[in-house]
Amino acid sequence: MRSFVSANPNQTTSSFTLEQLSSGESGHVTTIRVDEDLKKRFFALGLKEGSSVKVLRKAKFGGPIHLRVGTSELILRLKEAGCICVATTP
Amino acid sequence: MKRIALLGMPNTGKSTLFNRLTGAHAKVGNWPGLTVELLNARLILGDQVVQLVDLPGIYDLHGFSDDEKVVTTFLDTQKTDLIIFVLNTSQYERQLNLLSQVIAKGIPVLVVMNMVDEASAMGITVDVDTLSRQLQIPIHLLSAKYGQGMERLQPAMRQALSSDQALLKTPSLANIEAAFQAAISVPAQASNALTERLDKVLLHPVLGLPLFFAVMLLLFQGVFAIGKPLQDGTTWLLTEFRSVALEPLSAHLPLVLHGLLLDGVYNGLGTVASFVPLIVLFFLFMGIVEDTGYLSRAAFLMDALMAKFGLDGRSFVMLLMGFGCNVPALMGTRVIRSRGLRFLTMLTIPFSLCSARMQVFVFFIAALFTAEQAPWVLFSLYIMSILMAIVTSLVFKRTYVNNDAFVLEMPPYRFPTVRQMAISGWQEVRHFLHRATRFIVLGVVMIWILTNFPQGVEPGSLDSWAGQMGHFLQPLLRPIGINAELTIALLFGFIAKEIVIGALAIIYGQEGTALVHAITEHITWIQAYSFMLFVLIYTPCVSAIATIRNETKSLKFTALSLAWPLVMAWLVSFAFYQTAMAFF
Repeated sequence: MRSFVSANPNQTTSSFTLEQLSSGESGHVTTIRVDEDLKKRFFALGLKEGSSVKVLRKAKFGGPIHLRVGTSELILRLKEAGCICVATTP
Repeated sequence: MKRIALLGMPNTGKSTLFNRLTGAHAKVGNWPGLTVELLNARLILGDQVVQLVDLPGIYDLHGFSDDEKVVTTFLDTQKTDLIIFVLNTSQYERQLNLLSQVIAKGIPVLVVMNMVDEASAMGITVDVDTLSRQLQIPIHLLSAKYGQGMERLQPAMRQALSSDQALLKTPSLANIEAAFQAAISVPAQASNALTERLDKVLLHPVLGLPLFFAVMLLLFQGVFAIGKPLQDGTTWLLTEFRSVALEPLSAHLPLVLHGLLLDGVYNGLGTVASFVPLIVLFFLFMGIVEDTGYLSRAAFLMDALMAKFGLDGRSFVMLLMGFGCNVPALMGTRVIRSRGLRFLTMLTIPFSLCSARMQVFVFFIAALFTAEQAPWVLFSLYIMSILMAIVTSLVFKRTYVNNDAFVLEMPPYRFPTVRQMAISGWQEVRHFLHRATRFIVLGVVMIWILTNFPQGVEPGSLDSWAGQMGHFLQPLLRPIGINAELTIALLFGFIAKEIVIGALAIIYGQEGTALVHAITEHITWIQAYSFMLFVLIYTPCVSAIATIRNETKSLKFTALSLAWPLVMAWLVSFAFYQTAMAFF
């Protein structure tokens, strides 16, 4: 099911988008591909390149994803979660 | 007079601090160049009086949302002597960028690190003195909710106002971050254990939604169980006051003035006043749910379904609030950033079957249906209410497009103190009365004139102006089974749905069981159901329309939100009445 965003066999970390993580998995953000305005809002909620994230749960029927970023928690739709790349440690 | 502005991100307890500092004396004020009203209050600070302004919570000073524009415009146009920057201590990291933007404005800043109770529960410690020295900015630790550290804030404000806080150089974001990191220690596993445990249950994949609806049902039950006796009590008090004090006092007045003042203004205002207990309770209960952070959870649970109708999780929360009263729900849409989504939500809220409409339905159902049929008839109207909201959002979701990403903060569960609830409840009451009285006075005076003139007619009869209007509208309303008498009641219903039954009492000249008798004699159940459908769907009330006008500042949209439900109401009632007449 999972597709590698950057498949580097020498890397011990694997890269996914946040959308592809299942609940309970964590990692840190590598790149965020959204427009400037949304990037600022993400930043203000603690979601920026380098921040560590944990997927707490995903809503049913393709609903939003519930995250912990540092000491804050937030929810975002899968569409936006798909624009955020994370590196997970196996 | 010196001016102090409160600034900070949402969910930092800014309003709690504002209430703490000002008590319940705040008032809403207009500002030149700003389109929104801001809360402000005068505050005695030692030997001077200062003005304290509560700015809306924002995430970024250079952003493009309505709230952000309000704050930047305010700071650019209104001379501000001090900014109190409110920070949620346990989440300080992500707020430092905004702090650095605020410092760069060149206005003296006093940093308040709020929610220190939550932070220390998580094991977070702050070395305020070092931090303050490092940044050359006064920093103050406190808990606005519990009052901890409040006694030292006022002296700090006074000092910050008097000393010329001229920074040698503005610290960069990196400097600020380094200083905070050095002064604050956060344990590796800093998380809110209670919130995690509660979320496991309340956001459960299967149980989450049923639990949510159970909580909401309990809330509405609670509002009516406690509120109804209070409302009846208020009505009784107002009636007594009229017969004991007002009648004798106004006996010498000319007949026209007497009628206008007592039957018009006093009875009209009384109708609004009798609803104050329900409104207060509703706001209080909703406020508690809101303060606990549960509504963000509701948005999480319902978002997937709402997306199909072009709405989102927050719209759902507002629709739900509309079942109590449409007006606060319409105002609650302010949290939505996308203008398209906000307008779409505002277009659907008036279809929520509010408590005022329910009174009309309960009366008609009791008069024309059996006890076994009654719950099903009421249930069918609730279904109709939800269907109308869905149809409306499906029709208009391409006109009012939601172009906003759905990103929402999930605050930890918090439990409001009694003091917090009392202050916010009181503020809501004042806002409600402020809103309602302006229009109700005008409305009741108009109705009184329409039903009592031309001079000498039987009040409310078909010869009065209102009666003539009812007669005039018959070609339009006869096809949906609404006779001239019911038409007058509908005209009354424009002001407020609470008046409909009272209007029928005047029109038929009967009260209580005699009125029920008169109605069963004059109308069939098909006419009654068609009338109820019309009452459910058409324009909610003057207050709702005024709120829409106030919130959107758009006459065009206000006209649409008036016309669309009217057209829908006629079409639905027409379809029902004609079909039913063909079958029965």
